[in-house]
Amino acid sequence: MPRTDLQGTLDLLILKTLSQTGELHGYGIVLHIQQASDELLRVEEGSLYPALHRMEQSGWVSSEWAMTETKRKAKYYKLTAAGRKELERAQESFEQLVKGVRAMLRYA
Amino acid sequence: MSLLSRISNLFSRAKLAQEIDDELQSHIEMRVADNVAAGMSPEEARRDALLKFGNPMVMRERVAGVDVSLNLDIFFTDIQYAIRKLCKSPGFSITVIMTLALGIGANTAVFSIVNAVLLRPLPYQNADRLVVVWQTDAAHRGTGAWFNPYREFEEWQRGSRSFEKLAAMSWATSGKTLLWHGKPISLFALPASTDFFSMLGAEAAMGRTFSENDVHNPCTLVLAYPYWQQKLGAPSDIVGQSLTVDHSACVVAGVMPKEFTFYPKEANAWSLITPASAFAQKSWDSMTGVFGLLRPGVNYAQAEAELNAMEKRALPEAPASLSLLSSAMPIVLKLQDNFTWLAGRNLRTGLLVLLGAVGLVLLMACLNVANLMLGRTMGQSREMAIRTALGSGRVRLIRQMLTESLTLAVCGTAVGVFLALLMLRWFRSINPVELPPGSVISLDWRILLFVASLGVSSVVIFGLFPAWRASRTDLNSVLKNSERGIGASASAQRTAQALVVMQIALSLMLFVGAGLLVTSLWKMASTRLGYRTNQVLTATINLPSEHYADADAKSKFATNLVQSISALPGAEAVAIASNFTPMGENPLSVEGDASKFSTGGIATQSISANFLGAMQIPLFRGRVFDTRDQKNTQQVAIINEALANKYFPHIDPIGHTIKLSRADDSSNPWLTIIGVVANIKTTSVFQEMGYVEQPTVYRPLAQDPSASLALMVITEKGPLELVGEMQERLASIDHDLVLGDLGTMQARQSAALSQPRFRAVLFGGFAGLALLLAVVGLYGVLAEMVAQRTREIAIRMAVGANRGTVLGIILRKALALAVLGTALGVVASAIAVRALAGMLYGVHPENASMFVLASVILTLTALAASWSPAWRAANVDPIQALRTE
Repeated sequence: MPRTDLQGTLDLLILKTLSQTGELHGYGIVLHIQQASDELLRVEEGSLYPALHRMEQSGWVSSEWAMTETKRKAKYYKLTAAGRKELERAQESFEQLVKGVRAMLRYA
Repeated sequence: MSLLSRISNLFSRAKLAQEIDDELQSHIEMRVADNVAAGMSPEEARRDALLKFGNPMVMRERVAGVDVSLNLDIFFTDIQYAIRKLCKSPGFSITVIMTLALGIGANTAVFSIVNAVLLRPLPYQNADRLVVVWQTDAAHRGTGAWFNPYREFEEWQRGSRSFEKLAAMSWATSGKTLLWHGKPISLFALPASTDFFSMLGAEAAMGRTFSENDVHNPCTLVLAYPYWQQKLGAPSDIVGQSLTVDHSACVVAGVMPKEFTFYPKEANAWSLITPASAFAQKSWDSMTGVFGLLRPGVNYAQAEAELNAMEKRALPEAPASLSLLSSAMPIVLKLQDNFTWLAGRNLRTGLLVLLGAVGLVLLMACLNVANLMLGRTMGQSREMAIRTALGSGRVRLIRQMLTESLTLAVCGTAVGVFLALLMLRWFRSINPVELPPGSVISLDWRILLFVASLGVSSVVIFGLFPAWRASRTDLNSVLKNSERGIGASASAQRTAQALVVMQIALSLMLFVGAGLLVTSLWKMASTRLGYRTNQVLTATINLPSEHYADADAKSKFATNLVQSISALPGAEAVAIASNFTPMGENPLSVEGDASKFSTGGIATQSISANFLGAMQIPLFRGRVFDTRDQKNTQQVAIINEALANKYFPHIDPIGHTIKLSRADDSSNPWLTIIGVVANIKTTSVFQEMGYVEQPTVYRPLAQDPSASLALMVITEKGPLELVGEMQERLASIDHDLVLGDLGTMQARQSAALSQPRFRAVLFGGFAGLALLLAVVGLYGVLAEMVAQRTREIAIRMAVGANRGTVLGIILRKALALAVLGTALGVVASAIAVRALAGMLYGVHPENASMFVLASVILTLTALAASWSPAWRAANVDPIQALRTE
């Protein structure tokens, strides 16, 4: 699959995660996606932080430093209003993609 | 992060990098903690975390790559790295930078000059509708252009409907003398009509320009700024002052602004033509230029037709001597084009040819730079491979190469701008041409941008292309091969060689051109003109008509002056004449033979008795003028050989009589020929590069006195030494007169050659530049070739080839390239050299010897350039070479 599609999927997962959990740091996002997908999806951590920074540049998420429960400093990310809109759009386009692939596969 | 904090991060790059590091570190720590909680040992936990995470270094770069502000930081690092790398190979860097600089600098300068002279619109209002009106031969339009009689201008101004404004302005006038604070200084005031300034839309800086009421005053002046500033000392109360000019009172109406200029630029002031003035009174004799502002929508043909009709209506009034006018008709030309014509017949062509030449130089510079970049980046393919293996992204690599190329390009452009400014300053100082008004020779930034972008693109493209290719190569194969592995392929070599061949061809073209121009200049400068030019001081004197109204006064003055100055120590001989050389296009009648009448083409000069002797013009027959020839004695003339051959072939002209007008014109006397002298060469208005020997009639000053005089003093001393004494002697005869245009005959001749000299120097410079570039290019290609084939050479030597053979290989290659380039160049030159046709003298464009000479020079230079690489090849130590891979 072309890179942009996969990249889009990662964005979708991150945005969805943040919408479900509110504020979360990078490591937490990785764990959440793993759990929420029943261990089916493992985020490649090499792509995570570039994606997060990119989304921040685009204005879909905002960040700030805070303390974790274990008194460690971490950078927390949060959805913005624009991010919420982007989540809706990405979700819709992904549904389209899935429908299309399914239809193709059924057509034997 | 808000935009503000992001911008502030530009200034705290370290802080941002630290932040990213912190974030990534905390991620790893959290995973480690989880692992430990899950039961791993601390070391295992850490290893697992790092494995899952990946290389933090690479990660940091990837994240930073996204972040704009850190991009800037990386950009600066790249630049530092690039500079360091370039400093490590100074030869390469300096060559590329200087090549770019020379190409960009020369081109920008020449383009700017061409733009200023040919392309920029005139600095007057409605410049596109401004035209000039000349008289031309109706049968052969455009072959010549003459002034219009003022009377015809009056007729046009009265009734023409094609023009919004029409103005007359004449520079066929002699200088005047202004009495300024009691001292006489020269004033070159041009008669102009009322609408002259308003036609151009020009306003005065002080006071005002001509107005309708001024025609009632006897004399109104508008001063030019430079004259007011330099000669009068910039008096602020000049407006309204009454000045004494040639013993009449002239009121100063205003002073023009500093930037205002019109042709000719020597104008010191403009004086209003009033109905009472001598100019208007003798309206058929007063010749003037006519300028106009066309009404919108009127085209040139319509205007010409109208003016012609009006002119013909006035013609019956014309005196008989001006019968020429019946065959003339007005021609309307665009003012802007005409200015370049006025400035020099060949100016337009010359500049365009120069543009072509400098364009070739730019092309060569780009080719050179391309070659150099190609060579260098090909040789870096190994380094690229290693870096890719270590994890550097493709984008990162390409960006680094781009930065390196850009650094070179920026340096080259900066030096190029500097060179361009220097060149423009030089051009301004030598001022080889009279530029159209408003031509300010300055750097045109649009041109700089265009030319710089050409240079920069060649650097970038030829620097990037191999980088892009290298970043896609199979790492394995590159690392396995020797140093100059895959990148320097055969096709790249062939490209480089093709580029060098082209450079040699272009050099040849420039060489041939330069050779032709230099030869022309040399021949023209060394042509013997037929009169003495060395050690001759020159000056002009103008006699105001108020005190020198009659012929006797003028004659007496001339005689006194010659006597007085001859007495000066150091003055070997003194001569006076109406001009420095014979001038004019007078008609000629021969008594008794009506068939030999000519409507024009005869030059005349009125000379003092000792003129021919002082100027060393040899006499072939008869005698020179002497004290016998006075006003009331027989009217005599001396003719030159050209006239004798044309009108008196195979007979002795002595004793025949001629007249400088129609035979029935009683106002002109019949002249008896008393002598024949040799021809002298003069330059013609219509042909820049060449001399003519016009048929000439000389008359004694005593019989044909002139109010404007040319003084020639034969002396070993320089002008500065004698001028004080000369001026004293002049003042003692008439304290109101002043010597003008002080100089030497040689300087006058030299000034006439300023344009050809300019072209020759510039072309020669470009040819030299081109040769340099070709040499650099050739050297680079050969050095690359040798480095490439070091292994092969080593093997050959190991197997028995001696140094001579190796030398031969390299030299043969160089020779092959040179010969191919030369052949191409000869063909191209043969075609291109036609463009120079009008600028040559004494040498034919297809002069074979020039081509041969240029070819030989280039081939020898090519061989010289190849010597060093060849020598290095011959001295390859086979063992060393084969060992180090």
